[in-house]
Amino acid sequence: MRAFTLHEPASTQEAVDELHAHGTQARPLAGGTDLVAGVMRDQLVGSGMPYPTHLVDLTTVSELAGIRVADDGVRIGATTTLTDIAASSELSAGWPLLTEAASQVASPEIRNLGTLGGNIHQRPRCWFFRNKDFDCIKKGGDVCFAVKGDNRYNAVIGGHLCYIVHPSDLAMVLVALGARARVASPGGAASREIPFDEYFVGPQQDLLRETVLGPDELLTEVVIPPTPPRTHHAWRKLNEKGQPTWDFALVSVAAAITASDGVWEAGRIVLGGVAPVPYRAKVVEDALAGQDIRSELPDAISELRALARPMSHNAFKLRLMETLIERTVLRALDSPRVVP
Amino acid sequence: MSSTARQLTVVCAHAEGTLPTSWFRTYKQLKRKVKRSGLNARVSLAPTTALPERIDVLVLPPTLSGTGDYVERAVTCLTGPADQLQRDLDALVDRLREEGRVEYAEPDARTFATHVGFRATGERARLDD
Repeated sequence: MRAFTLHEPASTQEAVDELHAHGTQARPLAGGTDLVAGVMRDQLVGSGMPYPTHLVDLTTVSELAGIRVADDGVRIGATTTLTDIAASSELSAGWPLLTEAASQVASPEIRNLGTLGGNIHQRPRCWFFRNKDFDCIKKGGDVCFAVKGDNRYNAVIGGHLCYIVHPSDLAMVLVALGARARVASPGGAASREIPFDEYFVGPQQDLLRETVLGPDELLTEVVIPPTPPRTHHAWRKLNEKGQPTWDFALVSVAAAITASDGVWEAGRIVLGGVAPVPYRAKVVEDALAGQDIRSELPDAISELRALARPMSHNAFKLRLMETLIERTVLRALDSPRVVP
Repeated sequence: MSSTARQLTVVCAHAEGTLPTSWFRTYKQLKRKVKRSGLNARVSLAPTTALPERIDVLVLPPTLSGTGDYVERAVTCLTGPADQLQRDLDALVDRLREEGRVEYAEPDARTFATHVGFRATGERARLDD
């Protein structure tokens, strides 16, 4: 670890102004389970990834934490811990997808420290990116070592020059739930809302960023709309440990499906562990629209094959992905409807 | 060959913290072009906050053109869309050749692998035991 300056703002505006003052040298800090115990401890730096010399501690800003349920949905502060999310009975009743995913992140210790905002903004997984001695494209280097190297855990869809996978379980759940991010900007500018559909940036657009946020912008809360009637939720995560917690997903699937008598009315199927961003399986959703889900599901899932571009060691993910989508969607149909 | 001939330093700059993929592609195209020309030139990519001290040719994306003190540090500054940059670079290299200010790289210069899997063979990809 190298030395850094810790800032402890008292309000969101102060926090944003600190970020603005120090530019890309500053990073927001909440639980620190990835930023401090991962990126900074492992000294992941490069010309495109400066070592943070200023950390802005958001846990000193009380307004950034908490779960507030209202008629128009729920607002969850960015520094709300994963443990609090997993334990919330209100969230469990109206948005069980979120609580289930939160309860399966990493380990209890990490869930106690880790926050919603931190989980969404953790840096991607790729063992070349996570190794300080590899000057990969994501750190400002010239090449993606995964292309010719061991790429068994890398992206099979949506990779382009860089084949990271998005590690956040909650990010894909928020996309599945149609949630929005509330973002604060410097200089007292009014905060803005960004749908999570448009929040994440893949390497097809920018090689150094993973979200649309500028270095001096801050996610303050997540707004999730009420669950529509006749909606079923299901979540599944598969990793090498054989149990959902303790490790990142090889493949994970979040499904929020509105159906009537087994016929698809609306919904979202979002994949994790297979793409640089939470990947919405739009082709599957479109193929299922207005159809009997159980009978059409295998054909709909096969549509993904045309979009996938596996590399030398990770084609196994395609089979996992297809199987897990099928199991998750069937599990959703068999689960009780969410009572809004 | 002129006594002033030396390695040409070409730097493609980008704003810190963001690297649009289209600009990275432009950088790669320029790098390939220079390599094919056989000139003794080093083309690199760097954020505007970490540019090298000596820059012969600074290539800027249109969003950064004409801004920042780094522009004054470069002998020549090119900016514009990708196709125009390619033409400008061609013209510049021709001019430098005529003036004898660049030299050709060793034709049999070898390239080195920096790693094999996680085994490092070069400085940058070194792994601790």
